[in-house]
Amino acid sequence: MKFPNHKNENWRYVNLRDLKKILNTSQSTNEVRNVLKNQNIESDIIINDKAIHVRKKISDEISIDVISPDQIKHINPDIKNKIGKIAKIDDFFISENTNSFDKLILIGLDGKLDISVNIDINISKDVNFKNRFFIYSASKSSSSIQVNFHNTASVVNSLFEFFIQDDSYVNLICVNNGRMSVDIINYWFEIHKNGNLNATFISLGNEKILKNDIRVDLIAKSAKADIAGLYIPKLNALVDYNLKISHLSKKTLSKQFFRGILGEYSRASFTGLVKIEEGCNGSKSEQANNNLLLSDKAFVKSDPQLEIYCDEVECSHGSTIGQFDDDTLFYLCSRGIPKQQAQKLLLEAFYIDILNRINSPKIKSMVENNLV
Amino acid sequence: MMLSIKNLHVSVKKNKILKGLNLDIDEGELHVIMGRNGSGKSTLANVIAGQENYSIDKGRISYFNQNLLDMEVEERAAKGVFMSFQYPVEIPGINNAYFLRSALNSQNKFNNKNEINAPDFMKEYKKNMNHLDLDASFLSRSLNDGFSGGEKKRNEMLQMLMLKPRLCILDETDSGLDVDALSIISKSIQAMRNDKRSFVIITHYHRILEHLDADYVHILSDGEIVKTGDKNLAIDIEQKGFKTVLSS
Repeated sequence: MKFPNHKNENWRYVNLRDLKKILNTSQSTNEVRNVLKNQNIESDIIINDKAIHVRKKISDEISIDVISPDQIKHINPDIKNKIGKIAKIDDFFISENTNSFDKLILIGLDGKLDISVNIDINISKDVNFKNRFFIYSASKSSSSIQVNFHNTASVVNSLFEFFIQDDSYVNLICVNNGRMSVDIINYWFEIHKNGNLNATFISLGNEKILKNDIRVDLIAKSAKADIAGLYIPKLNALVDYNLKISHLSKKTLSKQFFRGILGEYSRASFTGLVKIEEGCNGSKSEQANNNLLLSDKAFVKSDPQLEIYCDEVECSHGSTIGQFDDDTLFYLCSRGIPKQQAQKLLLEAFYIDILNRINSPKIKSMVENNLV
Repeated sequence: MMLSIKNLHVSVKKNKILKGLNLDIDEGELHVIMGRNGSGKSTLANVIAGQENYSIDKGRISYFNQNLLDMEVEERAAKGVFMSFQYPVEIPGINNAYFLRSALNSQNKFNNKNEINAPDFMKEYKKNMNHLDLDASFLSRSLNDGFSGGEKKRNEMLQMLMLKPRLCILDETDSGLDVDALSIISKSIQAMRNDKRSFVIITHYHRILEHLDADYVHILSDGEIVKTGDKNLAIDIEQKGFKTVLSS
């Protein structure tokens, strides 16, 4: 696949010249790093450049295997036949990842009570790295996965394929907190009958380019995907969220709820496509993207899209870009609340619904620190 | 004198709204301001509260002999100026009780008083909610979010009861209220009356005056107060209309 250009909708808002320059100057690594002292050793999988540390025996309901490309043929056929098939090779970076990933991390989730997996990814300065995950959630299982990205001045191409089987539930939390890195991350989800995905993306870092591409196929009856995100890029970071949710069966349900807070020179773009194919009667979709600009140098593009090929569906979408509302600020100040505190209250009101989905004091604290 | 307004001229986007308004309000008084739509009643209320969209072209407002126009919005509130909004904004995501406690503590901090702790606050909050016949669900709801018109007005009254201001400006608090709600709100106002607290009630209708003893009724017309009387003036307006009353 060719390197992207701006004719490709998916890459409209990314500076491709800068991206190409960075790719050309970064390098692969063979370095194997140990777990560093200040890393979260509670994490189940820690990736430090080429080193993959997996905690021994998390539970009987979770399997984690680190597999070379040539070992994939030995995997259970039900899973093997899905690897590399959920993510469509329609993009240069997916193609690069598929052709030259070093190891595949295969995670199997088969627990009826809530099981959880924590993954830390830390790729260091000037390193160009590709990592790839395949996560399958067995029928009727219920699990949580948290992925934390802490890449520093690196170029990382990550690809996640999720195979969410009948009646299973996956709660996914992804936190981007990189510094001066280029993170191109693809998430592909295939959700089966009554399968349920609840995903929350939190982007707080100072990445040069952070691209989160999220593709969801609701392929069987009553499959659901509820996806939310909060992006608060720092300084002059660029965050791009590109979502495509395809309703491919009856009574499928999707929600997208993304909010951005942009200050200084930061930039963001949100593109959210919902496609409802013929015959998907009874399907519902909601989409909202709201952005708050705290500086007149910040920039955001918001592009919600609907393609509907079926009559008996319910869809809504909306997008806003604005600053603090003067009337709202006046109301709070008229009760004696100083202006700065009033702005802080309004900021919290803006992001709290998304943070309430994940109930993590640590992430809440990271968000508050980002807004100081 | 609590509030003294002298020769006040106010405009918005070069449209003159107030054109030399004069008004004195002493401690403990209840003033009613009536007037046609567009006469400048809400402008007056907002200017006293500190809304910055208005341009003060000329004139002076003294509040306890201090220049009110030099004070920031939050300073006016901390010094006891309260406006009940005609159209209170909805703010999803800010809890009603949390907001009010923040407001009270901000004012206390400004006035070098101790913060109110959560249990004491909630005790008084619930007591006042009962007086206003507000459902317990208000405790967990966001500020004015999804409230009916009557609920918003009662929420404004709840804030007034909790913040205990010195000067209460009620901008059409009675509009859209049913008979029972009007009675509840009037009782709250009456319960707060004392010789240190003053009220300015902006209204189109005299029915609120059936529940309250007004000291003065003013008619605001074309940006000025043109007539002042007692509550009989309000009855006259209701029966004869502004044009007739003003020409007599």
